[in-house]
Amino acid sequence: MTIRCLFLLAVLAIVSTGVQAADLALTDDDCRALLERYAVDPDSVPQHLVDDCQERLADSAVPALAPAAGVAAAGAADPCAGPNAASSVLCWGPWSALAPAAAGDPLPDTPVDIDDPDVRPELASQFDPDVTPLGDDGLPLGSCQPGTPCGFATVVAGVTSNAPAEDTEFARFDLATDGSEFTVRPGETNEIASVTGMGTVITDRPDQYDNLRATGADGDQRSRLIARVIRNNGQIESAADVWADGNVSTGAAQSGYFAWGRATSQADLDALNSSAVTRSLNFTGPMSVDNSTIAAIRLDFGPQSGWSGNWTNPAWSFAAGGTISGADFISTPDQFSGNVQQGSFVQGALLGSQDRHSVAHIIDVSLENVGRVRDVGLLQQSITP
Amino acid sequence: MHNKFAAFISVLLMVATGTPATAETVPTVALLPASTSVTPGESFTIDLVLDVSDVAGESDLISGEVIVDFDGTLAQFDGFAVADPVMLFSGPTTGTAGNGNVTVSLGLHNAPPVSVLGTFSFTAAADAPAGPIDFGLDDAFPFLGSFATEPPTNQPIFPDFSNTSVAVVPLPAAGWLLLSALGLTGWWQRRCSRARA
Repeated sequence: MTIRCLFLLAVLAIVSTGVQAADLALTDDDCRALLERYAVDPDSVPQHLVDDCQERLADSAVPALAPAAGVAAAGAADPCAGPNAASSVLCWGPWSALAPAAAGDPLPDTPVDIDDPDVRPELASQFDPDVTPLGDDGLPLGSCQPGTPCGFATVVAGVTSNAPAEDTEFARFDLATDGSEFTVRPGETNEIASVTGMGTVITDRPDQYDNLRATGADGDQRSRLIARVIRNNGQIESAADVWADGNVSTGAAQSGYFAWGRATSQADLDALNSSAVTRSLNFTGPMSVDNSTIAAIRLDFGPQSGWSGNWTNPAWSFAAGGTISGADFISTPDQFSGNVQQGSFVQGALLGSQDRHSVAHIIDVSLENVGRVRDVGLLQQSITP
Repeated sequence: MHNKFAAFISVLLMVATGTPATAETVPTVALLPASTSVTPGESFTIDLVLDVSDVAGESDLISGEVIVDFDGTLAQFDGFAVADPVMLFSGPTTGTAGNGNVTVSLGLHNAPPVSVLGTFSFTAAADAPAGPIDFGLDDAFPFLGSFATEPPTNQPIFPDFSNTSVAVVPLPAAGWLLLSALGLTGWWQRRCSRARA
Protein backbone atom coordinates (compact mmCIF):
# COMPACT_ATOMS: atom_id res chain seq x y z
CA MET A 1 0.00 0.00 0.00
CA THR A 2 2.81 2.34 0.97
CA ILE A 3 4.68 1.55 -2.21
CA ARG A 4 1.51 2.18 -4.21
CA CYS A 5 1.04 5.53 -2.57
CA LEU A 6 4.67 6.44 -3.19
CA PHE A 7 4.27 5.47 -6.81
CA LEU A 8 1.17 7.62 -7.16
CA LEU A 9 2.91 10.53 -5.51
CA ALA A 10 5.84 10.13 -7.87
CA VAL A 11 3.53 10.08 -10.87
CA LEU A 12 1.75 13.20 -9.63
CA ALA A 13 5.04 14.95 -8.95
CA ILE A 14 6.26 14.22 -12.45
CA VAL A 15 2.99 15.43 -13.92
CA SER A 16 3.14 18.59 -11.84
CA THR A 17 6.62 19.36 -13.12
CA GLY A 18 5.31 19.49 -16.63
CA VAL A 19 6.04 16.00 -17.89
CA GLN A 20 3.21 14.80 -20.10
CA ALA A 21 1.43 11.60 -19.20
CA ALA A 22 2.04 10.38 -22.68
CA ASP A 23 5.76 10.39 -21.89
CA LEU A 24 5.27 7.82 -19.14
CA ALA A 25 5.50 4.17 -19.79
CA LEU A 26 2.44 3.06 -17.89
CA THR A 27 1.84 -0.61 -17.54
CA ASP A 28 -1.58 -2.21 -17.28
CA ASP A 29 -0.98 -2.75 -13.57
CA ASP A 30 -0.12 0.92 -13.15
CA CYS A 31 -3.32 1.84 -14.91
CA ARG A 32 -5.40 -0.44 -12.76
CA ALA A 33 -3.85 1.08 -9.66
CA LEU A 34 -4.57 4.55 -10.98
CA LEU A 35 -8.15 3.69 -11.84
CA GLU A 36 -8.75 2.09 -8.47
CA ARG A 37 -7.42 5.23 -6.88
CA TYR A 38 -9.63 7.29 -9.18
CA ALA A 39 -12.68 5.27 -8.27
CA VAL A 40 -12.14 5.99 -4.59
CA ASP A 41 -11.17 9.65 -4.98
CA PRO A 42 -11.75 11.16 -8.46
CA ASP A 43 -9.80 14.31 -7.54
CA SER A 44 -6.64 12.42 -6.75
CA VAL A 45 -5.72 11.51 -10.32
CA PRO A 46 -5.50 13.86 -13.34
CA GLN A 47 -8.28 13.26 -15.82
CA HIS A 48 -5.96 12.80 -18.79
CA LEU A 49 -4.18 9.93 -16.98
CA VAL A 50 -7.53 8.32 -16.32
CA ASP A 51 -8.53 8.73 -19.95
CA ASP A 52 -5.25 7.27 -21.13
CA CYS A 53 -5.55 4.33 -18.80
CA GLN A 54 -9.18 3.67 -19.65
CA GLU A 55 -8.25 3.68 -23.31
CA ARG A 56 -5.29 1.43 -22.66
CA LEU A 57 -7.27 -1.05 -20.59
CA ALA A 58 -10.15 -1.01 -23.09
CA ASP A 59 -7.69 -1.92 -25.77
CA SER A 60 -6.55 -4.74 -23.53
CA ALA A 61 -10.19 -5.85 -23.17
CA VAL A 62 -10.20 -4.84 -19.51
CA PRO A 63 -13.37 -2.96 -18.57
CA ALA A 64 -12.78 0.50 -17.13
CA LEU A 65 -14.01 1.33 -13.72
CA ALA A 66 -16.96 3.62 -13.43
CA PRO A 67 -15.53 6.84 -12.03
CA ALA A 68 -16.52 7.43 -8.44
CA ALA A 69 -18.95 4.54 -8.45
CA GLY A 70 -16.50 2.99 -6.10
CA VAL A 71 -17.69 -0.57 -6.18
CA ALA A 72 -17.33 -1.72 -9.75
CA ALA A 73 -14.91 -4.55 -9.76
CA ALA A 74 -12.20 -4.81 -12.32
CA GLY A 75 -13.11 -7.44 -14.89
CA ALA A 76 -16.89 -7.02 -14.48
CA ALA A 77 -19.11 -5.84 -17.32
CA ASP A 78 -19.71 -2.08 -17.54
CA PRO A 79 -22.93 -1.54 -15.54
CA CYS A 80 -23.53 1.78 -17.23
CA ALA A 81 -23.58 0.46 -20.74
CA GLY A 82 -26.95 -1.32 -20.66
CA PRO A 83 -30.51 -0.03 -21.09
CA ASN A 84 -31.08 0.09 -17.30
CA ALA A 85 -28.04 2.26 -16.62
CA ALA A 86 -30.24 5.18 -15.54
CA SER A 87 -31.61 3.17 -12.63
CA SER A 88 -28.30 1.63 -11.63
CA VAL A 89 -26.83 2.81 -8.38
CA LEU A 90 -23.43 2.23 -9.95
CA CYS A 91 -23.97 4.89 -12.60
CA TRP A 92 -24.29 8.67 -12.55
CA GLY A 93 -26.34 9.19 -15.63
CA PRO A 94 -27.96 9.80 -17.83
CA TRP A 95 -27.31 13.53 -17.37
CA SER A 96 -29.17 14.51 -20.50
CA ALA A 97 -32.46 13.93 -18.72
CA LEU A 98 -32.07 15.79 -15.46
CA ALA A 99 -35.08 15.95 -13.24
CA PRO A 100 -36.50 19.48 -12.75
CA ALA A 101 -34.86 21.38 -9.89
CA ALA A 102 -36.72 21.36 -6.61
CA ALA A 103 -36.93 25.15 -6.77
CA GLY A 104 -39.50 24.97 -9.50
CA ASP A 105 -39.55 26.30 -13.03
CA PRO A 106 -36.57 28.36 -14.13
CA LEU A 107 -36.94 32.13 -14.15
CA PRO A 108 -37.65 33.77 -17.48
CA ASP A 109 -34.78 35.60 -19.12
CA THR A 110 -36.54 38.91 -18.61
CA PRO A 111 -37.78 39.25 -15.04
CA VAL A 112 -41.44 40.03 -14.86
CA ASP A 113 -42.37 43.08 -12.78
CA ILE A 114 -44.55 42.39 -9.83
CA ASP A 115 -47.26 44.97 -10.14
CA ASP A 116 -49.18 44.56 -6.97
CA PRO A 117 -47.50 46.32 -4.03
CA ASP A 118 -50.34 45.34 -1.74
CA VAL A 119 -49.48 41.70 -2.17
CA ARG A 120 -45.75 42.38 -1.71
CA PRO A 121 -45.60 45.23 0.83
CA GLU A 122 -41.83 44.80 1.16
CA LEU A 123 -41.59 46.00 -2.44
CA ALA A 124 -43.82 49.02 -1.89
CA SER A 125 -40.87 51.40 -1.99
CA GLN A 126 -40.21 50.34 -5.58
CA PHE A 127 -43.60 51.69 -6.48
CA ASP A 128 -43.10 54.97 -4.68
CA PRO A 129 -43.28 57.56 -7.45
CA ASP A 130 -40.57 59.44 -5.48
CA VAL A 131 -42.17 62.76 -6.26
CA THR A 132 -42.99 64.95 -3.33
CA PRO A 133 -46.67 65.85 -3.61
CA LEU A 134 -47.57 69.51 -3.75
CA GLY A 135 -49.34 71.09 -0.81
CA ASP A 136 -52.56 73.04 -1.18
CA ASP A 137 -50.49 76.16 -1.80
CA GLY A 138 -48.46 74.54 -4.58
CA LEU A 139 -45.41 74.20 -2.32
CA PRO A 140 -44.15 70.65 -1.60
CA LEU A 141 -43.29 71.50 2.01
CA GLY A 142 -45.97 74.12 2.58
CA SER A 143 -45.73 77.86 2.93
CA CYS A 144 -43.62 79.91 5.33
CA GLN A 145 -45.91 82.64 6.61
CA PRO A 146 -44.22 86.05 6.78
CA GLY A 147 -42.79 86.82 10.20
CA THR A 148 -43.05 83.25 11.51
CA PRO A 149 -40.33 80.65 12.20
CA CYS A 150 -39.58 78.62 9.10
CA GLY A 151 -37.20 75.75 8.47
CA PHE A 152 -36.53 72.76 6.28
CA ALA A 153 -34.72 69.54 7.12
CA THR A 154 -33.55 66.29 5.65
CA VAL A 155 -34.54 63.16 7.58
CA VAL A 156 -32.69 59.84 7.46
CA ALA A 157 -32.75 56.71 9.61
CA GLY A 158 -29.87 56.34 12.06
CA VAL A 159 -27.54 58.78 13.73
CA THR A 160 -25.20 59.70 10.90
CA SER A 161 -27.39 62.36 9.23
CA ASN A 162 -26.27 60.94 5.87
CA ALA A 163 -27.96 58.48 3.52
CA PRO A 164 -28.41 58.08 -0.22
CA ALA A 165 -30.82 60.62 -1.70
CA GLU A 166 -33.38 57.86 -2.30
CA ASP A 167 -33.45 57.20 1.46
CA THR A 168 -33.61 60.87 2.41
CA GLU A 169 -36.89 62.62 3.13
CA PHE A 170 -37.68 66.30 3.54
CA ALA A 171 -39.58 67.82 6.42
CA ARG A 172 -40.37 71.13 8.01
CA PHE A 173 -38.18 72.05 10.98
CA ASP A 174 -38.57 74.33 13.96
CA LEU A 175 -36.06 75.49 16.56
CA ALA A 176 -36.33 77.32 19.86
CA THR A 177 -34.56 80.68 19.64
CA ASP A 178 -32.32 79.67 22.57
CA GLY A 179 -31.41 76.39 20.82
CA SER A 180 -32.69 74.27 23.70
CA GLU A 181 -35.17 72.22 21.64
CA PHE A 182 -36.19 71.45 18.08
CA THR A 183 -39.03 69.79 16.24
CA VAL A 184 -39.01 67.93 12.95
CA ARG A 185 -42.36 67.74 11.10
CA PRO A 186 -43.99 70.02 13.70
CA GLY A 187 -47.69 69.37 14.09
CA GLU A 188 -47.67 66.24 11.96
CA THR A 189 -48.55 62.78 13.22
CA ASN A 190 -44.96 61.61 12.83
CA GLU A 191 -43.49 64.67 14.54
CA ILE A 192 -40.01 64.27 16.07
CA ALA A 193 -39.78 66.41 19.19
CA SER A 194 -36.37 66.70 20.79
CA VAL A 195 -35.63 66.54 24.48
CA THR A 196 -36.66 69.86 25.98
CA GLY A 197 -34.19 72.03 27.83
CA MET A 198 -31.10 70.72 26.08
CA GLY A 199 -27.84 72.12 27.42
CA THR A 200 -26.33 74.58 24.97
CA VAL A 201 -22.82 75.85 24.34
CA ILE A 202 -21.94 78.62 21.89
CA THR A 203 -18.41 78.79 20.47
CA ASP A 204 -16.68 81.11 18.03
CA ARG A 205 -16.05 80.23 14.41
CA PRO A 206 -13.67 81.78 11.91
CA ASP A 207 -16.60 82.87 9.68
CA GLN A 208 -19.64 85.10 10.31
CA TYR A 209 -21.39 82.37 12.31
CA ASP A 210 -21.20 81.13 15.87
CA ASN A 211 -21.38 77.44 16.60
CA LEU A 212 -24.18 76.02 18.72
CA ARG A 213 -23.88 72.65 20.46
CA ALA A 214 -26.99 71.40 22.20
CA THR A 215 -27.32 68.00 23.81
CA GLY A 216 -30.00 66.58 26.03
CA ALA A 217 -31.19 63.35 27.60
CA ASP A 218 -34.59 62.44 28.98
CA GLY A 219 -34.73 58.84 30.15
CA ASP A 220 -33.58 56.83 27.17
CA GLN A 221 -34.21 59.65 24.68
CA ARG A 222 -31.20 61.60 23.40
CA SER A 223 -31.20 64.73 21.22
CA ARG A 224 -28.35 66.68 19.68
CA LEU A 225 -27.81 69.78 17.55
CA ILE A 226 -24.53 70.98 16.10
CA ALA A 227 -25.32 74.14 14.20
CA ARG A 228 -24.01 77.32 12.66
CA VAL A 229 -26.06 80.14 14.09
CA ILE A 230 -26.52 83.88 13.58
CA ARG A 231 -27.62 85.52 16.81
CA ASN A 232 -29.06 88.87 17.75
CA ASN A 233 -29.34 89.92 21.40
CA GLY A 234 -28.62 86.35 22.45
CA GLN A 235 -31.47 84.94 20.38
CA ILE A 236 -30.86 82.70 17.38
CA GLU A 237 -32.03 84.40 14.18
CA SER A 238 -30.99 81.68 11.77
CA ALA A 239 -29.31 78.28 12.09
CA ALA A 240 -28.21 75.37 9.96
CA ASP A 241 -26.60 71.95 9.95
CA VAL A 242 -26.92 68.82 12.06
CA TRP A 243 -29.77 67.43 14.12
CA ALA A 244 -30.24 63.96 15.66
CA ASP A 245 -32.72 62.30 17.96
CA GLY A 246 -33.01 58.73 19.17
CA ASN A 247 -33.63 56.20 21.88
CA VAL A 248 -30.51 54.76 23.43
CA SER A 249 -32.40 51.71 24.69
CA THR A 250 -33.99 50.64 21.42
CA GLY A 251 -31.24 52.04 19.23
CA ALA A 252 -33.83 53.67 16.97
CA ALA A 253 -32.71 57.08 15.80
CA GLN A 254 -33.34 59.65 13.10
CA SER A 255 -31.10 62.47 12.04
CA GLY A 256 -30.39 64.89 9.25
CA TYR A 257 -29.49 68.43 8.33
CA PHE A 258 -31.57 71.57 8.56
CA ALA A 259 -31.80 75.26 7.70
CA TRP A 260 -33.96 77.46 9.86
CA GLY A 261 -34.82 81.10 10.51
CA ARG A 262 -37.72 83.50 10.74
CA ALA A 263 -39.47 84.31 7.48
CA THR A 264 -39.23 87.94 6.49
CA SER A 265 -42.14 89.98 7.83
CA GLN A 266 -44.95 91.18 5.61
CA ALA A 267 -43.88 94.78 6.23
CA ASP A 268 -40.37 94.04 4.97
CA LEU A 269 -41.74 92.13 1.98
CA ASP A 270 -44.01 95.06 1.16
CA ALA A 271 -41.03 97.40 1.36
CA LEU A 272 -39.06 95.18 -1.02
CA ASN A 273 -41.94 95.01 -3.49
CA SER A 274 -43.04 98.63 -3.32
CA SER A 275 -40.15 100.00 -5.32
CA ALA A 276 -40.78 101.09 -8.91
CA VAL A 277 -37.57 99.34 -9.93
CA THR A 278 -36.69 95.70 -9.41
CA ARG A 279 -34.79 95.12 -6.18
CA SER A 280 -32.40 92.13 -6.20
CA LEU A 281 -31.02 90.27 -3.20
CA ASN A 282 -28.12 87.86 -3.72
CA PHE A 283 -27.36 84.90 -1.49
CA THR A 284 -24.57 82.36 -1.51
CA GLY A 285 -23.11 79.62 0.64
CA PRO A 286 -22.45 75.90 1.01
CA MET A 287 -25.21 73.34 1.22
CA SER A 288 -25.36 71.30 4.43
CA VAL A 289 -25.61 67.65 3.30
CA ASP A 290 -22.77 68.02 0.80
CA ASN A 291 -20.86 71.16 1.65
CA SER A 292 -18.82 70.92 -1.51
CA THR A 293 -21.98 72.13 -3.28
CA ILE A 294 -22.05 75.93 -3.42
CA ALA A 295 -25.37 77.60 -4.03
CA ALA A 296 -25.97 81.09 -5.40
CA ILE A 297 -29.51 82.48 -5.52
CA ARG A 298 -30.85 85.85 -6.63
CA LEU A 299 -34.30 86.99 -5.55
CA ASP A 300 -35.88 89.83 -7.52
CA PHE A 301 -38.62 91.90 -5.90
CA GLY A 302 -40.72 94.63 -7.44
CA PRO A 303 -42.16 94.92 -10.91
CA GLN A 304 -40.29 91.90 -12.32
CA SER A 305 -40.52 89.51 -9.40
CA GLY A 306 -38.85 86.11 -9.68
CA TRP A 307 -35.76 84.24 -8.73
CA SER A 308 -32.88 82.31 -10.29
CA GLY A 309 -30.06 80.25 -8.90
CA ASN A 310 -27.35 77.76 -9.59
CA TRP A 311 -25.75 74.96 -7.62
CA THR A 312 -22.18 73.93 -8.34
CA ASN A 313 -20.59 70.74 -7.10
CA PRO A 314 -17.21 69.34 -8.23
CA ALA A 315 -19.16 66.54 -9.95
CA TRP A 316 -22.20 68.37 -11.32
CA SER A 317 -24.09 71.63 -11.55
CA PHE A 318 -27.55 72.82 -12.46
CA ALA A 319 -29.56 76.02 -12.63
CA ALA A 320 -33.13 76.80 -11.67
CA GLY A 321 -35.54 79.67 -11.45
CA GLY A 322 -39.12 80.35 -10.61
CA THR A 323 -41.63 82.48 -8.81
CA ILE A 324 -41.77 84.31 -5.48
CA SER A 325 -44.94 84.49 -3.42
CA GLY A 326 -44.73 86.25 -0.07
CA ALA A 327 -41.61 84.93 1.63
CA ASP A 328 -41.75 81.68 -0.38
CA PHE A 329 -40.06 80.84 -3.63
CA ILE A 330 -40.54 77.75 -5.77
CA SER A 331 -39.04 76.51 -9.01
CA THR A 332 -40.92 76.26 -12.29
CA PRO A 333 -40.10 73.30 -14.54
CA ASP A 334 -39.36 75.43 -17.62
CA GLN A 335 -36.60 77.35 -15.84
CA PHE A 336 -34.44 74.37 -14.95
CA SER A 337 -31.23 73.83 -16.88
CA GLY A 338 -31.34 71.09 -19.50
CA ASN A 339 -29.76 68.41 -17.28
CA VAL A 340 -32.57 68.53 -14.72
CA GLN A 341 -35.16 65.81 -15.17
CA GLN A 342 -38.89 65.80 -14.48
CA GLY A 343 -40.14 65.71 -10.92
CA SER A 344 -37.42 68.02 -9.63
CA PHE A 345 -38.03 71.10 -7.54
CA VAL A 346 -36.37 73.80 -5.45
CA GLN A 347 -38.26 75.42 -2.60
CA GLY A 348 -37.13 78.11 -0.21
CA ALA A 349 -38.01 81.11 1.86
CA LEU A 350 -36.58 84.55 2.48
CA LEU A 351 -35.59 84.93 6.12
CA GLY A 352 -34.64 87.82 8.37
CA SER A 353 -35.13 91.51 8.31
CA GLN A 354 -34.08 94.21 5.91
CA ASP A 355 -30.56 94.64 7.18
CA ARG A 356 -29.78 90.94 7.51
CA HIS A 357 -31.54 88.60 5.12
CA SER A 358 -30.81 84.95 4.54
CA VAL A 359 -32.41 82.11 2.61
CA ALA A 360 -33.37 78.62 3.75
CA HIS A 361 -34.05 76.21 0.92
CA ILE A 362 -34.10 72.61 -0.24
CA ILE A 363 -33.17 71.09 -3.57
CA ASP A 364 -34.70 67.83 -4.81
CA VAL A 365 -33.45 67.28 -8.32
CA SER A 366 -32.76 64.37 -10.65
CA LEU A 367 -29.76 65.21 -12.80
CA GLU A 368 -28.89 63.56 -16.07
CA ASN A 369 -25.97 61.10 -15.66
CA VAL A 370 -25.80 61.94 -11.96
CA GLY A 371 -28.99 60.79 -10.31
CA ARG A 372 -30.99 62.14 -7.43
CA VAL A 373 -29.64 64.99 -5.29
CA ARG A 374 -31.37 66.09 -2.11
CA ASP A 375 -29.89 68.81 0.04
CA VAL A 376 -30.77 71.67 2.34
CA GLY A 377 -28.98 74.96 2.70
CA LEU A 378 -28.89 78.22 4.60
CA LEU A 379 -27.43 81.01 2.48
CA GLN A 380 -26.37 84.40 3.73
CA GLN A 381 -26.91 87.58 1.80
CA SER A 382 -23.91 88.61 -0.22
CA ILE A 383 -23.49 92.34 -0.57
CA THR A 384 -22.66 93.21 -4.17
CA PRO A 385 -20.97 96.56 -4.87
CA MET B 1 14.02 56.87 19.26
CA HIS B 2 11.03 55.10 20.80
CA ASN B 3 8.79 56.44 18.03
CA LYS B 4 11.18 55.26 15.34
CA PHE B 5 11.26 51.80 16.86
CA ALA B 6 7.45 51.72 17.08
CA ALA B 7 7.18 52.80 13.45
CA PHE B 8 9.66 50.10 12.44
CA ILE B 9 7.65 47.45 14.30
CA SER B 10 4.44 48.75 12.68
CA VAL B 11 5.95 48.46 9.23
CA LEU B 12 7.17 44.92 10.01
CA LEU B 13 3.71 43.95 11.23
CA MET B 14 2.07 45.45 8.14
CA VAL B 15 4.44 43.53 5.91
CA ALA B 16 3.89 40.31 7.86
CA THR B 17 0.12 40.62 7.84
CA GLY B 18 -0.10 41.83 4.28
CA THR B 19 -1.67 45.13 5.27
CA PRO B 20 -0.99 47.66 2.54
CA ALA B 21 1.18 50.50 3.76
CA THR B 22 -1.23 52.97 2.17
CA ALA B 23 -4.30 51.63 4.00
CA GLU B 24 -6.72 54.34 5.12
CA THR B 25 -6.57 55.17 8.77
CA VAL B 26 -9.68 54.80 10.88
CA PRO B 27 -10.72 58.09 12.48
CA THR B 28 -9.57 57.83 16.06
CA VAL B 29 -9.35 59.66 19.32
CA ALA B 30 -6.75 58.00 21.52
CA LEU B 31 -4.96 58.27 24.84
CA LEU B 32 -1.18 58.12 24.51
CA PRO B 33 0.77 57.90 27.79
CA ALA B 34 4.20 59.57 27.92
CA SER B 35 5.48 56.49 29.74
CA THR B 36 3.96 53.04 30.00
CA SER B 37 5.06 52.55 33.61
CA VAL B 38 5.16 54.63 36.78
CA THR B 39 6.18 54.08 40.37
CA PRO B 40 3.70 54.62 43.21
CA GLY B 41 3.34 58.31 44.00
CA GLU B 42 4.88 59.38 40.68
CA SER B 43 3.24 61.95 38.39
CA PHE B 44 2.65 61.10 34.77
CA THR B 45 0.94 62.51 31.69
CA ILE B 46 -1.31 61.12 28.95
CA ASP B 47 -1.83 62.91 25.64
CA LEU B 48 -5.29 63.07 24.05
CA VAL B 49 -4.62 62.53 20.35
CA LEU B 50 -6.98 63.07 17.38
CA ASP B 51 -6.61 61.64 13.87
CA VAL B 52 -9.60 62.07 11.58
CA SER B 53 -7.59 62.85 8.47
CA ASP B 54 -9.52 60.35 6.36
CA VAL B 55 -12.89 62.03 6.97
CA ALA B 56 -11.86 65.66 7.15
CA GLY B 57 -9.91 67.99 4.95
CA GLU B 58 -6.56 69.40 6.04
CA SER B 59 -8.05 72.81 6.73
CA ASP B 60 -11.11 71.51 8.57
CA LEU B 61 -11.47 72.13 12.27
CA ILE B 62 -12.93 69.49 14.55
CA SER B 63 -15.00 69.71 17.71
CA GLY B 64 -16.21 67.10 20.14
CA GLU B 65 -16.56 66.03 23.74
CA VAL B 66 -14.72 63.16 25.44
CA ILE B 67 -14.94 61.43 28.79
CA VAL B 68 -12.03 59.63 30.47
CA ASP B 69 -12.54 57.24 33.35
CA PHE B 70 -10.12 55.50 35.71
CA ASP B 71 -9.94 53.89 39.16
CA GLY B 72 -9.64 56.77 41.61
CA THR B 73 -7.94 54.56 44.19
CA LEU B 74 -5.03 54.04 41.80
CA ALA B 75 -4.50 57.54 40.44
CA GLN B 76 -5.50 61.13 40.93
CA PHE B 77 -6.43 63.62 38.17
CA ASP B 78 -4.24 66.72 38.40
CA GLY B 79 -5.36 68.73 35.37
CA PHE B 80 -5.68 69.05 31.62
CA ALA B 81 -3.55 71.37 29.50
CA VAL B 82 -5.11 72.15 26.12
CA ALA B 83 -2.75 72.25 23.14
CA ASP B 84 -2.65 75.26 20.82
CA PRO B 85 -4.72 75.98 18.68
CA VAL B 86 -7.33 73.72 20.27
CA MET B 87 -9.78 75.41 22.62
CA LEU B 88 -11.90 74.06 25.45
CA PHE B 89 -15.61 74.78 25.35
CA SER B 90 -16.47 72.73 28.43
CA GLY B 91 -14.69 71.10 31.35
CA PRO B 92 -12.57 69.52 32.46
CA THR B 93 -15.25 68.33 34.83
CA THR B 94 -14.72 65.44 37.22
CA GLY B 95 -17.49 63.07 38.22
CA THR B 96 -18.19 59.49 39.14
CA ALA B 97 -19.12 56.73 36.69
CA GLY B 98 -21.67 54.02 37.39
CA ASN B 99 -18.88 51.58 38.28
CA GLY B 100 -17.38 53.99 40.80
CA ASN B 101 -14.56 55.11 38.54
CA VAL B 102 -13.55 58.74 38.45
CA THR B 103 -14.56 60.51 35.21
CA VAL B 104 -13.09 63.57 33.57
CA SER B 105 -15.17 65.08 30.76
CA LEU B 106 -14.28 67.97 28.49
CA GLY B 107 -15.31 69.54 25.21
CA LEU B 108 -12.86 70.77 22.61
CA HIS B 109 -13.10 72.70 19.36
CA ASN B 110 -10.89 74.40 16.80
CA ALA B 111 -8.82 71.20 16.53
CA PRO B 112 -6.88 70.34 13.36
CA PRO B 113 -7.79 66.89 11.99
CA VAL B 114 -4.47 65.40 13.11
CA SER B 115 -3.45 66.90 16.39
CA VAL B 116 -2.66 66.48 20.04
CA LEU B 117 -5.75 67.95 21.66
CA GLY B 118 -4.16 68.32 25.08
CA THR B 119 -2.44 66.54 27.94
CA PHE B 120 -3.92 64.97 31.05
CA SER B 121 -1.81 65.02 34.23
CA PHE B 122 -2.21 62.32 36.85
CA THR B 123 -0.40 61.08 39.95
CA ALA B 124 -0.27 57.40 40.79
CA ALA B 125 -1.48 56.64 44.32
CA ALA B 126 1.36 56.17 46.81
CA ASP B 127 -0.09 52.82 47.84
CA ALA B 128 -0.98 51.72 44.32
CA PRO B 129 -0.23 48.00 43.96
CA ALA B 130 1.76 46.64 41.06
CA GLY B 131 -0.45 46.34 37.99
CA PRO B 132 -2.16 48.43 35.37
CA ILE B 133 -4.09 51.64 35.86
CA ASP B 134 -6.67 51.48 33.06
CA PHE B 135 -7.86 54.68 31.43
CA GLY B 136 -11.08 54.43 29.41
CA LEU B 137 -11.93 56.95 26.70
CA ASP B 138 -15.28 57.50 25.03
CA ASP B 139 -17.46 60.10 23.38
CA ALA B 140 -19.09 62.14 26.13
CA PHE B 141 -22.39 61.82 24.21
CA PRO B 142 -21.90 58.28 22.97
CA PHE B 143 -25.18 57.26 21.30
CA LEU B 144 -25.62 60.19 18.94
CA GLY B 145 -21.97 61.26 18.99
CA SER B 146 -20.55 64.69 19.62
CA PHE B 147 -17.72 64.97 17.10
CA ALA B 148 -18.14 67.12 14.01
CA THR B 149 -16.23 69.09 11.48
CA GLU B 150 -16.89 72.83 11.79
CA PRO B 151 -16.24 75.17 8.83
CA PRO B 152 -17.58 75.45 6.26
CA THR B 153 -20.53 73.55 7.73
CA ASN B 154 -20.95 71.19 10.65
CA GLN B 155 -20.89 67.55 9.62
CA PRO B 156 -20.94 64.68 12.13
CA ILE B 157 -17.99 62.29 12.35
CA PHE B 158 -17.82 59.11 14.37
CA PRO B 159 -14.24 58.28 15.41
CA ASP B 160 -13.15 55.17 17.27
CA PHE B 161 -12.00 55.76 20.83
CA SER B 162 -9.03 53.79 22.15
CA ASN B 163 -8.22 53.25 25.81
CA THR B 164 -4.83 52.92 27.40
CA SER B 165 -3.21 51.77 30.61
CA VAL B 166 -0.15 52.67 32.63
CA ALA B 167 1.60 50.00 34.66
CA VAL B 168 2.45 50.67 38.28
CA VAL B 169 5.86 49.17 38.99
CA PRO B 170 6.82 49.43 42.70
CA LEU B 171 10.52 49.87 43.44
CA PRO B 172 11.75 46.30 44.10
CA ALA B 173 13.13 45.23 47.50
CA ALA B 174 16.59 44.99 45.94
CA GLY B 175 16.25 48.62 44.99
CA TRP B 176 15.48 49.61 48.56
CA LEU B 177 18.44 47.48 49.78
CA LEU B 178 20.75 49.18 47.28
CA LEU B 179 19.59 52.62 48.32
CA SER B 180 20.06 51.87 52.01
CA ALA B 181 23.50 50.38 51.30
CA LEU B 182 24.51 53.50 49.39
CA GLY B 183 23.24 55.65 52.24
CA LEU B 184 25.12 53.57 54.80
CA THR B 185 28.33 53.78 52.76
CA GLY B 186 28.00 57.55 52.51
CA TRP B 187 27.41 57.85 56.22
CA TRP B 188 30.43 55.59 56.97
CA GLN B 189 32.77 57.55 54.69
CA ARG B 190 31.66 60.82 56.23
CA ARG B 191 32.26 59.41 59.71
CA CYS B 192 35.73 58.20 58.71
CA SER B 193 36.73 61.54 57.17
CA ARG B 194 35.55 63.34 60.32
CA ALA B 195 37.58 60.96 62.44
CA ARG B 196 40.69 61.61 60.30
CA ALA B 197 40.17 65.35 60.64
